[in-house]
Amino acid sequence: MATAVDAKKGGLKDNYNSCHQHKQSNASKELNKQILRAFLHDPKHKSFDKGHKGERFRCKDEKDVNEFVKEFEIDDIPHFSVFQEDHVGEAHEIAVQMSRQPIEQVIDAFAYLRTCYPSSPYIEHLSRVTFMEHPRTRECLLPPPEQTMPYSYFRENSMMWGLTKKGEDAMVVMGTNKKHHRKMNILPTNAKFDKERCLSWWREDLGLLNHFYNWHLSYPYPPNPPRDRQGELFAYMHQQMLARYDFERLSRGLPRVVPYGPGYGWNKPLKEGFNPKLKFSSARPANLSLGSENYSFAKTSTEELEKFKDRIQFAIARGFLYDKNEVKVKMTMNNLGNTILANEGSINKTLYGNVHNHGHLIIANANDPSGMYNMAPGPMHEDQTSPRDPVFYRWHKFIDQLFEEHRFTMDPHKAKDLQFSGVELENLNVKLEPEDYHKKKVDKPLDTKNHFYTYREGKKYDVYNTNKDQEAIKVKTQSMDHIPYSFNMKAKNKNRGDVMVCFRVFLVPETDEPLDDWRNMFVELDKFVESFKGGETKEINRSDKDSSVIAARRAKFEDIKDGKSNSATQNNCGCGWPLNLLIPRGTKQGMRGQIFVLASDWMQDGENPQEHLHGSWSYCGLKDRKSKYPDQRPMGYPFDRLIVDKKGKPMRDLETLVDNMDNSCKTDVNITFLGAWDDENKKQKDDKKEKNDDKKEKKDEKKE
Amino acid sequence: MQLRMAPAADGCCHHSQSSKELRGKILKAFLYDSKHKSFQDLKDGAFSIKDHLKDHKNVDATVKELKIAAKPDFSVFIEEDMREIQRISDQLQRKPINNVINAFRYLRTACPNSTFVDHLARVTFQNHPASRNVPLPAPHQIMPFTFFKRGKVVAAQRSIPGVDNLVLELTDPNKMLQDGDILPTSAKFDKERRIAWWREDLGMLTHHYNWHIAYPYPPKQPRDRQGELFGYMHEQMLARYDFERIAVGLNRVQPYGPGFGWDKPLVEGFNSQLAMCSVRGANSNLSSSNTYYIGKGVPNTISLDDMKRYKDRISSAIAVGFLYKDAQNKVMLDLKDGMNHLGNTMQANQGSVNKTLYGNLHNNGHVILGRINDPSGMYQIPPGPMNYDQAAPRDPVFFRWHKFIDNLFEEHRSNLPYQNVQDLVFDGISIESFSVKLEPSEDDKEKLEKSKVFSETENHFYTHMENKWYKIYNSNATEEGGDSDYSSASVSQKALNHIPFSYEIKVKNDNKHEQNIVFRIFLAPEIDEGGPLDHSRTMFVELDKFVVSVKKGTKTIKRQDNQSSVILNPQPTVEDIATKDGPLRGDCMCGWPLNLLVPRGTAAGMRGNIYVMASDWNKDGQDPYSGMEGSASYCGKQGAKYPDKRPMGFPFDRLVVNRDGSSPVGTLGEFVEAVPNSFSEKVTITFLDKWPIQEKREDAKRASRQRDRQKGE
Repeated sequence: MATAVDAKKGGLKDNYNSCHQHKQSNASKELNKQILRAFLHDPKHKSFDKGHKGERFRCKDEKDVNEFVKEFEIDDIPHFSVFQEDHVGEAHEIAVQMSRQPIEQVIDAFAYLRTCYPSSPYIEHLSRVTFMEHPRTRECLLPPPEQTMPYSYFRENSMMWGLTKKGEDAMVVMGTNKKHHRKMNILPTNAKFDKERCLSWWREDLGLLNHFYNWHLSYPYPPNPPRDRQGELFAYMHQQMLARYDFERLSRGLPRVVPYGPGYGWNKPLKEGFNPKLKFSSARPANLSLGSENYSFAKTSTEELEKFKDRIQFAIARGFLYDKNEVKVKMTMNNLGNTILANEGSINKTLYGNVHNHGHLIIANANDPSGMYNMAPGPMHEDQTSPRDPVFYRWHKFIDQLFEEHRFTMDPHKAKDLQFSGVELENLNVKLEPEDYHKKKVDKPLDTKNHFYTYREGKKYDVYNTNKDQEAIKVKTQSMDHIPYSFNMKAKNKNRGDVMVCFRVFLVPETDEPLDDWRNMFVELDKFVESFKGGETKEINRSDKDSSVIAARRAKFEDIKDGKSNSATQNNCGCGWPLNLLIPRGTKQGMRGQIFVLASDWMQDGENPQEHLHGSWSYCGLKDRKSKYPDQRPMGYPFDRLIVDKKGKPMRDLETLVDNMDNSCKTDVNITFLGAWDDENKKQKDDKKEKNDDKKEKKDEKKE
Repeated sequence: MQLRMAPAADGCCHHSQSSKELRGKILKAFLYDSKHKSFQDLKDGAFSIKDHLKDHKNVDATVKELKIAAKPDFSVFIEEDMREIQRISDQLQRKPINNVINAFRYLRTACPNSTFVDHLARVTFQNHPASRNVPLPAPHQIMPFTFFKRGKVVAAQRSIPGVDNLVLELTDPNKMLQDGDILPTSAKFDKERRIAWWREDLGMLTHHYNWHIAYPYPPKQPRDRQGELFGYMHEQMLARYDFERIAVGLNRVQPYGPGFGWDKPLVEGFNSQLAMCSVRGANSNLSSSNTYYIGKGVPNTISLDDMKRYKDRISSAIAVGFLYKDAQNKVMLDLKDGMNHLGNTMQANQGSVNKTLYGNLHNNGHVILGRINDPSGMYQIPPGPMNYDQAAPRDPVFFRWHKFIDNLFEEHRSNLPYQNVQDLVFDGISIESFSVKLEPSEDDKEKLEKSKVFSETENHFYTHMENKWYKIYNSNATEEGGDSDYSSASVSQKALNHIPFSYEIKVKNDNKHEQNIVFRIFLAPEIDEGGPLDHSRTMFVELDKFVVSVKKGTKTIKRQDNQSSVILNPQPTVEDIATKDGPLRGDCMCGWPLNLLVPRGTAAGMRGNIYVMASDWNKDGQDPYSGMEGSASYCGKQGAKYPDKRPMGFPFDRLVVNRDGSSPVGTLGEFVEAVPNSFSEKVTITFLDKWPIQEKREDAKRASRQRDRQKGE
């Protein structure tokens, strides 16, 4: 899909359009529809028409079993986890074999498996990996996981409400009706006095969960060889999640995330409890201590992990890692990331262990380390659920702490190295571009300059595999969104020659702390390339929807079914930050922040400067397994390490940084949260009205 | 001096001839009705009773008037919840019975599995003048989700032809289908699992549930000797539990409570696999939170420090021998009433001597242990089994907690004046022989032959596991050919049972006149701890207590196991209530299950001692002219005083000393020698582990259906 840029025509945009026009052929559209069959459980499946009664289902024991399933001995893995090496290994092995088989039969096999295990995370993972691997379906779109595996994405009770609304008997649905009467269960996850609750909407945002799930599908842990700069991207993607989470925490008056891990307080009880209210995860009480016994999933103990962490820290301090032949390997972000993620790129897994994954498994199974009580693991066990849990961020803050140690060992950026001579930026501002929908909802005049507005609204999702038929049920959740906007600025090229400029846009909450303390609070909003002729001055206008961090609009299940899916040239990996969380929530009074833009020389930075970039390449690289990460600069550049001024002292603040460099500019912005735009509000008002009516009636009765 | 024997079939409750019609109506108040008119025009299935109460048209008039709404996480151990029950039940008892029935039909359909509604219904019908003696359906049939593991109920639903198993799989976690869920509660390497079958025995759980309904905690006045019975009933549960533990090679129960290790992590985790309960991981730390939310009352929290303080106050009251009633008055903890006052105070019922001073030790312990996963309610994690009287005995910590409570009673027992053997002698009466005779049924004989067990017929108990099938309702399963309005399913569960036996006692009366004699039969495991008899005193399990009048001369008395005063007589099932004509028993349903009467023993044969003592019923009996009918030993008599005036557990209620008054009795043999009106015999309990129970599921179901049909005909 890479097309050469004809710089003379300034034809980036044209190429962009041509990309849009790149449509799926009709044949592949048909195939794409076929794939849906593999994601839907089929009550009329011919292998099950006699019904299946009683005992636990096993593929092996079945007579009518699908031949592929039998041949490859596929059976469900209970408590599947992408953080478990055996599990991922098995999935990979099967997927590789399956991807060599004729596609129709692969689809048949998955339709069979899906009917056996309609809500198994393992079958979901396996089918996605297989279809992404299979040469014939590589270009196909896969339905979003929240529609095919809803029990892992929606709280049990919103599912129940959805089912009962569809007319299912509440008794069947609930098994027990107890929770049926507790509206509490549909409220955010935790009771009011749990302060972590005020960000549950963020942690449980479907876009975010999807991003995370798909990231782990496309950046696998063994046995695939790591992708280009996978280790570094692992660090950067999670660091950005933390930066965004911290931003949200600040706006709610919460402190920044505190690390939790070996050496960072995990010998002491874990203060935060968590009740995910998901069907397959168990709750964690507050103040749980991690036991020192052997953990059956991680096959290790907390003390073992501490040992590995010490070795990694030692390696960081010395600047090299030992590989298996005792040869020193230079410490880089990528080597460190691969080693901590313990993928196939780990320099020495025996020596440095499997810190990141085992931490997930240990925390998830802290309730029942040995599996003695048949307890379901907590949300940290699975990639699609772990970002729901507040401890996820504490754990990743710990991981990021290790990366920070390495970042401190690197030579700082000098201000003059960041300069791009001859290129000047000025007049940066943010312009609000509300659509009619937004205008209708807001009754007060909006500030259209340098002001972001966010709001919350209810969204309905059609979900499948919940029910005895293949019909969807509707499930409601709330999600944050913002009023569309665009960046505007003036960029001058004073050089004689043509240049390609990469604009790196960041958002940061306002602070009076030194720049470096705030360095990892910078949230990447966008990164884009423009070409300039010699001496040209351009007005740059860039819309939020084009951002390089966000995922393109995902094709829904229905879109694929109706063949409407070709409108988006999306990566089928589906990974990328959700547009609706691009701007943090801010506060009702308006939270102050700053936007910072740095221009750099793309001819130097770009891996392949002529390549047209689209999609969510900042957090996800590019879709193709073998292609390289497009930006050669360290990820997060220029905030990947300390920035110093001419005297070699740490840069004081953003103001001085911008003053020192013409190729950057900044502007102050406000982020105002407009509240919930929702029918819920109406309902509440109606309820109040009803109550009042009731009272009136009572009074009337009394009078009578 | 003739003893007035009550007719055997009638039991303690002299019920009126409850009409079949009323019986059937009340039964319907316990069954979910999918065609209930109030719910027909519900627009969407999502239903909340609070919203429904606002609705003027559809809600039942009585429910609306009394504002009855199901309480989530209802617990009999929470005072506020019990007051609510009492408030509503008192008002319902004044309403016409038909209104009450309608109200409960509505509530049951609105909240089919609410433990609150079930408790309220039982209390109301048992006390309503029109329904006082009407038999109520067995709780495990009505509340399957609180008595059976969720996996079992789901499996039962799934095994029914016509129900699409895929629906059920979809709406249930797929892990429910794993073997572990149908197996005993915990994985193999959990040693507490060895006696999960005992803790999860339905008869035992039903006994505990009904005991708490019959002997309520506030605001009702306590029944006669309620506090003492509270101590005794739980002490006997512990004695039986210890017996079973020893048989499977576990140590006796260790107490767990304030001052008994609850500052440290609780080693035992527990997964009840019940739909309503959360799981407790191993090594949960109770002291990780100091305050525990205990409901809406004032105060609404309790701290571990409070509990420690209450325990210390009770402990020092025992040491000084009195409880403070108020500023002026003391209540002496004497031999006669001491146990009762102490029991009432610990159970914190209305008979508590001073609730402000001595707190609510027993109940709050239950709530705290039930809420160990989420003390403040911050995460809305459902409580564990300890929160529910139906489920608490499933949890190993139940016994550890009650061992702690019993330790406080023991402190008091050790302060009491000693029991002198001299005072136990019943002049002129001697027991010449005492033995246990095996009385296998034809079926048993056949199986004994098959399994090639050489059976001794004297002084030998045989136990075995068997598969029992239960019909369950309110689980939304429709069985083939069943009543579609009230759907039922069948669930099987393994339970212990024993081969029937009888006692044969040869007693000699040397007195001139006829004597009413009460025989007290106990069983204890043989132990070689050494030391005085007192060390194993709390191990004596009551097997029976009965009254016989004996004329001058020798008499041989025969007594069947199923007549025992500790066991619950067979109760009518839902099907019986619905179909049978003629009178049915309407007991309080409290009483030990017959199938657990004899402990399991070991495959190699576990040795024990069986002990009988005769004493004078003219002195001991509350009413010397009536005996110990029904399950009086653990449950007393409804509406009457406890029949036996002796301290409960007599003669093992305190230390027994020799004639000299100071040295404790050494062994059971010495004891029998000193008291000629007693006798002991060595017995063996053999567990027939190869007893044929492997009926195939489908076969068994067919068989049970056939049996039902035959019965019906």
